[in-house]
Amino acid sequence: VADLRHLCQGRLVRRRLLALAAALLVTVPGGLAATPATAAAPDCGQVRKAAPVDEVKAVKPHADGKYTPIILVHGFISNPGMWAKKTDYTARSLDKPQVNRSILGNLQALPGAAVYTVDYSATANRWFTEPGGGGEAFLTVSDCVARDPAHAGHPAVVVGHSMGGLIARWALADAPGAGQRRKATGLVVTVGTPYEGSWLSALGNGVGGHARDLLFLAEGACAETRFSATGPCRWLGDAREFLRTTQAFVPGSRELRNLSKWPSGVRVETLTSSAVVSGVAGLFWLNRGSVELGDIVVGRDSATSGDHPQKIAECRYTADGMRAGANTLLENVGMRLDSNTDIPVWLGLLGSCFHIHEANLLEHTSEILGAVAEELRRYDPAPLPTPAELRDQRACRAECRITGHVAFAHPTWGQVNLITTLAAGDDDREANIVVTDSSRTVRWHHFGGAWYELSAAKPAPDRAGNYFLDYNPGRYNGVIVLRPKAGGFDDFTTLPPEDDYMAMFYYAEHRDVNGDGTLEIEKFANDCDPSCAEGTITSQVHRWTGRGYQP
Amino acid sequence: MRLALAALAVLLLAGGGLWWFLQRDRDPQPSTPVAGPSSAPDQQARQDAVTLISGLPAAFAAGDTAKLSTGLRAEGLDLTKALPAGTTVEPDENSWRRSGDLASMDAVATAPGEPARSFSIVMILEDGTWRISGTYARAGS
Repeated sequence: VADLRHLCQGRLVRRRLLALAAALLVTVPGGLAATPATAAAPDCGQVRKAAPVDEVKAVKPHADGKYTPIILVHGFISNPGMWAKKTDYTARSLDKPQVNRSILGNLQALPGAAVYTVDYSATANRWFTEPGGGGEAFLTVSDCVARDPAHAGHPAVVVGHSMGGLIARWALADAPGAGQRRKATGLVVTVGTPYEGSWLSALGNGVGGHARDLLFLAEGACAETRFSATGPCRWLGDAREFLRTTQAFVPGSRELRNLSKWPSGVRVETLTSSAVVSGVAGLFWLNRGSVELGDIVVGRDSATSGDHPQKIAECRYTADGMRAGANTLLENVGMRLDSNTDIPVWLGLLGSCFHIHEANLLEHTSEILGAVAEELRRYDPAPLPTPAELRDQRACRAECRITGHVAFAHPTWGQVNLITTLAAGDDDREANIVVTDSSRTVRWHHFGGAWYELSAAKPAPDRAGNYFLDYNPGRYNGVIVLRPKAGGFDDFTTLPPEDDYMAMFYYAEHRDVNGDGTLEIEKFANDCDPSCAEGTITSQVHRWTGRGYQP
Repeated sequence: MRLALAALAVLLLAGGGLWWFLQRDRDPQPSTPVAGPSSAPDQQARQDAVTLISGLPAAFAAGDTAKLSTGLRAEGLDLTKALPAGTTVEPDENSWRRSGDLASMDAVATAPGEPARSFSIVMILEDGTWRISGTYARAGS
């Protein structure tokens, strides 16, 4: 938890001093003057992987020797240290889990992962788009890791807590270079991000009732502990002060309205916590049911805004029979009352489901780890099935042999192999085109016919993203073009009907006519006059138009 | 070269001084607003709260909603069910806490034939008058 004492004490004096210091630095050549967000080339010298924690040993890269960058972005009034705290909270149990790992350590231990943390702790008490704020810090890290050859071909995963999630969205939607950055980002996971603002910041602006009262009581209970100035008690007070002065997090604020929604094509998952208090609020014997407080700072609707996969960890509190539980909970959050009598349940609101504990909550950390691990596996090449496995799945009707394969990431099936097969025996004729996924399961199959040759061509894919297969049914070479799409492939009528060989590009050759990396197809025609052996052959070059092939 | 080194030394000294100044009073201080030593107006507010809470059984029995906040009044609660007939409410004056227009005080309510229950009562200052915003059952009550 970052130290925000400056907000309360000596604020004016320090502001002046900081302004003086900033002026000094600006006047020094090469000083630390803030660079605008539009800076073309970020200084990548300071961007390094997060130092290993939890005794993590060096992890293996992906099969191609590269790593996937995992970028962790903290929230307001915080710092990268939040990711290194032990995962020692759980929403479903008051028992303290016996774990010795942090979310940072767990991520660092994943094969293929290179973890980076964005540090804007010095300006974490400002709206992130301000000069020198969290936005700039994120752009520097994300753009530098995207340029690093060690990550080539492996889009980044971003995990943002609180305002960190807003920063990630801004970087991919609104900031200069957002389009390019989107291409370099595979997945974003946000935790407790105030997409629609923080209702805590709206207290006093119309939001009130039981939620306001419970927070007031929680603050009061904090004041009764000897830890009133530390931990979650301290942070709650600082957050109230920060949100009051910032105003940007008031729902519907100008700052929030100026931010775009998540752009289409960006895969996002939202996580949040929600504390539900029941059997507590009301008017003496009249109970008013449940009061839901989100993670105390951000409501669940705000944190899960948008049509994305979401997970909510719920903490339920009730006054009845909570005393022993509350004692344990207080130990969990590092607080114990000086007097051990009549512990108020609302102090538990600053426990497991509290905003600042979200990166230490088992439910969230396991969700993040799962999502990241799955993302990392997307870039591990799928294992090649054996011919026997293909036959077991009826992708080969008889014994077959694999004549070639290309591994790539399919938009629906993830990592796949595009495999070509021919009959194993010299006398048999059976060609198959098969796609298998990472579990070696057949996802797509085409029976080619009694062909003599069938193999995948190189480069695969070409610059346009198309895959080429050469086939020969006996006389000439034919070309099949496959372009991956959701649920299958576009074939542009180049795929012959089963047990046939006539198609768009029979007969033809593929080649890169103009050397731009996109293959052209030269289609031949024989007038077979007076015979096919003596006929006149003409040809026509078909070029990729973006939608298909045209002469 | 000497000039550059001297400039660097001055900068380092200035930076160190600045750092020391910023760090020197980083002793923990609660930013949570907590009522300090009671002032005369605060003492009066505390007394008003005691009177308000003690008078709730009679007010509720009479169906008087004037002691409720605007929000609670709008809920149209059955006050006779909130405090059954014969209930007494004993405020704990020492538990008084105030921050701006919000305040709280603990109280023990005892209904005939039932065990005593402990509540924290939150009050809000509306139009210069303290009114009940809500009551919150304390653990184990």
